[in-house]
Amino acid sequence: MKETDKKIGFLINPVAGLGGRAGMKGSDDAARCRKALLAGYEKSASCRAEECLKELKGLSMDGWRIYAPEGCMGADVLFKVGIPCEPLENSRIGSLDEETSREDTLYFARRLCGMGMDLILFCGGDGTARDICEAAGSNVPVLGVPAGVKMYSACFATTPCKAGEILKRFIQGKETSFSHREVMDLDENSLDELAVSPTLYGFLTVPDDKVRLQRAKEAGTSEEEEAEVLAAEIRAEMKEDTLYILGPGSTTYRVKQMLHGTGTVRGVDLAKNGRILRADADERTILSFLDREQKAEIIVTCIGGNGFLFGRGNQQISPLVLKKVGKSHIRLAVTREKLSGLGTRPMLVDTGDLETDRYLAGYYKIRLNAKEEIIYRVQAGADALLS
Amino acid sequence: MGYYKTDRDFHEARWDEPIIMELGNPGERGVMVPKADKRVVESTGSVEELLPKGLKRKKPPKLPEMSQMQVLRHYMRLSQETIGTDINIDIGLGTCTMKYSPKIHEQFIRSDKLKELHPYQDESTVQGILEIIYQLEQYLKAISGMSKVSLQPSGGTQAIFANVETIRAYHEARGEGEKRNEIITTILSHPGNPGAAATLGYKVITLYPDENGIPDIEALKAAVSEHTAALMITNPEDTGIYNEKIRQFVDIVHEAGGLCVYDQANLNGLFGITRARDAGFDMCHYNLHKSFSSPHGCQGPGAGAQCVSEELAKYVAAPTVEFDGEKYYLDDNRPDSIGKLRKYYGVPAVLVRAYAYIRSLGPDGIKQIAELSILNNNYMLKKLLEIDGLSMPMAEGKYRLEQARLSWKELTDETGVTTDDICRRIVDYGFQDYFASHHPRIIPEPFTPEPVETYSKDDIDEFVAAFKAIAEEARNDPELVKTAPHKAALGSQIQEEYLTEWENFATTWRAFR
Repeated sequence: MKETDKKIGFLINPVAGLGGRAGMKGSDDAARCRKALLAGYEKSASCRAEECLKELKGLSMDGWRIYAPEGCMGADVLFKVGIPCEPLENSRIGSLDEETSREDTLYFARRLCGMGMDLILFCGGDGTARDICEAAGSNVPVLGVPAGVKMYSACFATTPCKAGEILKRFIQGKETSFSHREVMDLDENSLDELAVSPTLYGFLTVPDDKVRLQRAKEAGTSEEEEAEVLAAEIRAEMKEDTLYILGPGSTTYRVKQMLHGTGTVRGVDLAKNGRILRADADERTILSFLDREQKAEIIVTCIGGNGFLFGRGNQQISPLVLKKVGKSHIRLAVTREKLSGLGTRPMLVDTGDLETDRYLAGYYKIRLNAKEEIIYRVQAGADALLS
Repeated sequence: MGYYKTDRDFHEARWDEPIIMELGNPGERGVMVPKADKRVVESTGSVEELLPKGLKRKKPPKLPEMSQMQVLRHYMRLSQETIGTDINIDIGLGTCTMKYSPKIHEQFIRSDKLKELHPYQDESTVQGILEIIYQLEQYLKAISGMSKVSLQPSGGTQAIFANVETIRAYHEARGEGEKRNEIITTILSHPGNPGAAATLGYKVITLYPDENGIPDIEALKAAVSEHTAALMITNPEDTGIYNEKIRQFVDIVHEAGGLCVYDQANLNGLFGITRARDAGFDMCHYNLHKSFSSPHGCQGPGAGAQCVSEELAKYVAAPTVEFDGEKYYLDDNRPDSIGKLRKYYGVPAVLVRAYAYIRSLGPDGIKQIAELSILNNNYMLKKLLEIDGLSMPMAEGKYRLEQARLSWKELTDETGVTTDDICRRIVDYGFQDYFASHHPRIIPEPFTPEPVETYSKDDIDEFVAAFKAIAEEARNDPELVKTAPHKAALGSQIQEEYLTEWENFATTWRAFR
């Protein structure tokens, strides 16, 4: 193989999606999975992977190699589809009668990272995405083939075929830009109750899905460009002697990058007069800063897809913090593209305190830039569930 | 009854024709220009000497050198590679109002009287066309309920632009020009509205629909202020959902001191049934090539009508066409006017067609346009929504007017086949590709059909049958749909980036090279 060949890592979580048909809310619980298997439910993840890999049919093997664990965690499907792969040494785990676990996912993901993969294609659900995130962080490009039960995370292609298309384009050198996408998961055990609360676990680096680009007649600015402009606007709007509480997320991270000091992607950072004063602040820190400051503003973005503004991944901005800063000092940093993903649904708040949630509900002006604003509805999560 | 075909085995001509710049041979000519008579040359000198030095090209332009037959063949081939409204059932191109344009109109506009019309002619020699324009204005006043109409705009968005200019003139005259710097619109109104507003320096505030598919009235209340210059809104929007609260919208904005502008580019759902002025609007505009019938969409020029209330009449684009009891004339003496929009006055061919259309239909006929459009649409929707995987989001159970925004999301989730795939595949069935949505797509995997009044039940049935067949293909052979088109003039898919990324555009041959 040549030095310049692209290295693709491939990993299947064979039990992903298993819980779905069995009426479970996920497949994290190994004991329950075994029960489902015994009850005759089949593993569907490898079929989803197969669907994805079929997209590569007819693609020359020049210029790329694919690496996978032996057996059902990768090589079997590749063999079935007829894609020659480089099996990892001593990697036969999870034969028919042996169950795989999340430790296996972590183990192989780490091994693939260590081998310097250009992209890791993984097939699974939110739990698998979390494992990949834990093993690979956000430095290695990855792409999720959707095969899980829930899939709240934004690192998955919309369908297995789409994942295949993106992979093909990546191999052909057509997929050259990447973005950070949220990894979200629910606590499966608490799902039996009414409250559904996905948690933000981190970010994965995923190819920008060009396949979903709008057609020419309706083409607008790309989300990337839009976010860039938005961040610059917010930076320019920042007032002197005001404490800024900057929430987590990729949109606000751009703002943080424009300030002096180092900001965090996942954390809440505090800034004033163009400098980051404290990165990854917890509630207590935020409150102690607020005690000293006259003026404060919160800048937050909503989570793509489910539209959560407060209470998901930014609990540090607690009801007390929100009350101290005040509703009128909340600046929403949301791109038009992200809003499109919500359809006609409102943005949601679920701070853990219904009174605060209802206080925050209402109509917000979202400034996209100096010349464009959107009026958008924010609702208490609890009220949204009822309606 | 029901002679529609579902087995046409359509295949478009495919010539893989080179670009004309690549054709021809050096020295080949279509027309041989005779040499000037010797005596002429002697008295005037040669052509080269007659031309001022600064005007002469250093190198001759690189034009294709071709004979007549080869030129004709080239364009005949290209003409076979298009699908226009006259050859297919063009229901898919929603919001565009692709109705039948009566062919008798083409005889009118190809008559010598119109063909040889020249903008520099003296008014006394163009009384006929001025009368048509004047009369058309009277009809449009009756249709809109407004008091003054300008037929100068070359198209719909220029009419919108004129309306925004009028907004500005109105507030400036009241000393509020600086303060009133915000225009409110909705995400499902035509992008031409925020576009024109932004072009003229206004800040744009956009409202989103609630689950009923109409812009939220509470959001509007949160948007209006002493900065509000105007509300620019479409009703029904692309979704075909009638906004019953439209009068309330108008009142809220008026109360805040703003004007209300009704985008009626496509009038088909309300033609002859309701009038913009009756709903309290101060202005509206029509795309005359749409509801008033002219071949359009790469097939001919458009025209716009700017319609305004009595109070705003003095601001319309100048010149206006007036009648003094004896003769028709162009009135340039309008000191408050927003000025000229374009060279000369309007697009006479489209204005004549619109005039003929109104005259031939009369008030009852016009009302029937709306009634039939709505009936056709709801018949089509009933049939289309029987297709598994196609749904109509928002305002469940509510009838649509002349068009609807549907969603293939369920089919996409199930099969991976997207609206863009289906849009390419429909061409294999002998239909023009359809309109998905204006940007941004707040409805996932959108599809916006509009079966205007001129399509028959059989046409609609054939249209629906094709989509039903494609939905089945998506389940049985998704690859077939995803790799479409297979039977179109273009044998392969166009890479999206050539259509969406301006860095990749080639607008001239030289740029392409």
